[in-house]
Amino acid sequence: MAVVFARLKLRLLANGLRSPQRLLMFLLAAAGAAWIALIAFAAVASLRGDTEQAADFTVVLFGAITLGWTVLPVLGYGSDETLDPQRLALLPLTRKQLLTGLFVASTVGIAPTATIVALSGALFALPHGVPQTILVLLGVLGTLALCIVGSRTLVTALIPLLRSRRGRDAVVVGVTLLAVAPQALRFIQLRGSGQTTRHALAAAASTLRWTPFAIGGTVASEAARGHLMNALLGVGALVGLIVALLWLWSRALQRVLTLADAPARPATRRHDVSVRLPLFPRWVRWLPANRVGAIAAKDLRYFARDPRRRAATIGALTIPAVVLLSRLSEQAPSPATTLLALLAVLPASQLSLNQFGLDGAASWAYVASGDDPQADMTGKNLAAGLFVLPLVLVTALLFAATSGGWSWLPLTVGLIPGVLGVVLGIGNVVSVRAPYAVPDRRNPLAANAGQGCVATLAGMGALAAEAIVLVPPALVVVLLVGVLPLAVATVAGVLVGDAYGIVAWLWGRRVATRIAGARLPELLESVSPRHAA
Amino acid sequence: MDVPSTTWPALRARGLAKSFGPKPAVAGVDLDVAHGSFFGIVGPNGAGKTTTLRLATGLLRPDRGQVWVDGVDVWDRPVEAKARIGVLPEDLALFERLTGAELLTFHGLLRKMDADVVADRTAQLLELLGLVDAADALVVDYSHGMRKKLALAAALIHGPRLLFLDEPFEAIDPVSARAIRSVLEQFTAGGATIVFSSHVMELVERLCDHVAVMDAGQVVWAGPLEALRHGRTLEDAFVDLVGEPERQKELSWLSSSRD
Repeated sequence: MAVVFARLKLRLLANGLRSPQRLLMFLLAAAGAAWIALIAFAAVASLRGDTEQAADFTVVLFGAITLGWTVLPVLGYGSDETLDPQRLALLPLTRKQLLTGLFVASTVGIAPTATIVALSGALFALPHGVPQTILVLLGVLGTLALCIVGSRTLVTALIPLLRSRRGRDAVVVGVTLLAVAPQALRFIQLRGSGQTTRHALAAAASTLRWTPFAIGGTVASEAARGHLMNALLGVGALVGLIVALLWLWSRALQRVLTLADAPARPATRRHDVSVRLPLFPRWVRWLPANRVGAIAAKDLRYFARDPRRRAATIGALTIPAVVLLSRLSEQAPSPATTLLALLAVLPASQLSLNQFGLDGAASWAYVASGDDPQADMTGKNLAAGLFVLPLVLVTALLFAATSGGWSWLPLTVGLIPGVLGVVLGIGNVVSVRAPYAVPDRRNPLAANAGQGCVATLAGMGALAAEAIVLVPPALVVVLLVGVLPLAVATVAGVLVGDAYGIVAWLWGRRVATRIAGARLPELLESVSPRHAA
Repeated sequence: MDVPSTTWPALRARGLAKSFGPKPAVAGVDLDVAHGSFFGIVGPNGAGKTTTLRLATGLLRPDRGQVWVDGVDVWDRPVEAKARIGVLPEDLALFERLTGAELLTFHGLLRKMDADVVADRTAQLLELLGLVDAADALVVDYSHGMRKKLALAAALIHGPRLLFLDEPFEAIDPVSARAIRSVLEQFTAGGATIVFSSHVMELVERLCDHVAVMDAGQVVWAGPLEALRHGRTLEDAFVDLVGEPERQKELSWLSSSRD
């Protein structure tokens, strides 16, 4: 039975590689995974001879890998369709066969292979004798098993939540917050800790040591330190943990396979006829009642209602939030750092880079209603700008207040249109040059292999382009501030910066309109998940 | 330059072709749909019906061939051509995080219509299709039949003269089907044209005056329904044309009970 599942998984992997694009994405993902795995392997293995540090590092690495396995599949990075137990619901399999089969299938793939490579660095760095080697090996294999069982249990346990639309929406937002949280924690924790790497490592290891995530690493590290009893204790705990998770997984599977879908209730909410154009949110009734305004209003509604966009926004808010937190931790920030508030414009970039992909197959409405990509982009840019504006303003006020940089506030606020123009102009071009389909499945936990890869490449390319395009006006502003009194520099800087940004936006929109105008149907194909598959 | 529409049919296609990879989905389709007709495209799964409709509505670029709506070339003058047509796509991909009323407003404004007209027609269409009670609920929470009705309303809001419907009666309840049918009959009674694809033969038989039979990416027969039927049911005529797959050898185990 286990062999059948393993072969099924391999066959599905192979079938998934038939199109050249998918093959390329698979190779890129494999290369990336191999790179990371080898670095982790080498990092541990290179500590051979320094048992203390190698032991601490093993604990931290094993803990991080297990944490990654727990969180990433929920975020939609690692879960795949092969392992969807609901597909197997109608086959006459006992729960034990199903559990074994799913477990075996989970050990096949890029991620498990990379994990075992990364973990096995400890085998080279740590052991000194036969019993130690055996214990370290147990720690490595136990951690891999823990990773797989833990992630499958969590994903399976979450499936019932996904049966209702509200549950799915909540999960998408929840897991995004989960992913962002460590970033914030990192900064809070690092505050005032001016220790060496070695000390930081030891501190991290002692915190993690007996957490469920790092327990396999603890087995290995205790064995290396010669505390064989502790290591055996760890093995016991590890086995107990895996058995407990297997039990939970089995329970969750039973629930998933027997629970019926919630019936689709036809919604009834009677129309409020007093609102003439219900599309427009109350606070933007002033938007023009034409194609541009309609698209802007629709996008503004979507920022609040579409979980995929909410997730993208939360992700994009991380950078400004991290900058804010790190600035709060500084002793006496320079008043000029108020300008950093302009980083809060970045979410607009995130939202515009794949602005048609976020609409997905529904984009046919733009094409069917008569081609006007220029209006479409203007509307979308308007919405993105309106969306980030309050964000940038609040950030600027916070930064000014914490650094006493009130005199820098006018320049900061004045430059918003300029930065926004550059970011949206580049976003427009990228969104029609490299559009990609965002999977719109019933199950937000299932991801399309390779899609993350396109997203990352497009995002990095755009960020680099934005940085390059922003350099000249930034230099001019710095120069102006350097040679002129601040008040004069503010006026001149705002004029120059905004003129530059507006030209960049107009130029980006023009190029993007020309590209999109010539290939609207192709654009539609590439953002429709069904056709792109 | 206004082409006199009297000399042109509502829809004309010549040599439309589209391949996905090595396999041709549509291999040279010619169609003429007269004004005011209720035109059904029938064919087995994979015959190229959906692809043909997507090519004719400007949603998918043909490899070869031309399409004219009222004499306006869909691919040369897309804005003009698309202003005359309404589309109900098969996959019903709507902006489903809008409410029904918001979605109709959105489609109206996309069509660059006057805001007051959009508001009036939105209210009328919601009423006509029995969606008033769900007008302020998100489309994502709609049932399949409600989605179809809403998508039909969105296709009608700009008052097109030619309507393309891809499987309008697929998987919907009889009540919604009747609502859709009565709207369509009203629509053609006013002299407008409907092109729709379906494999529900009874419906095609009941609604259409002209049919085109597609098989393997080509139109194998086109003309008035009566000429095709020739006294038979449409299903029999259809199977005669498209051909039944060779009868398999009887599966003895399928008819015998297992112990």
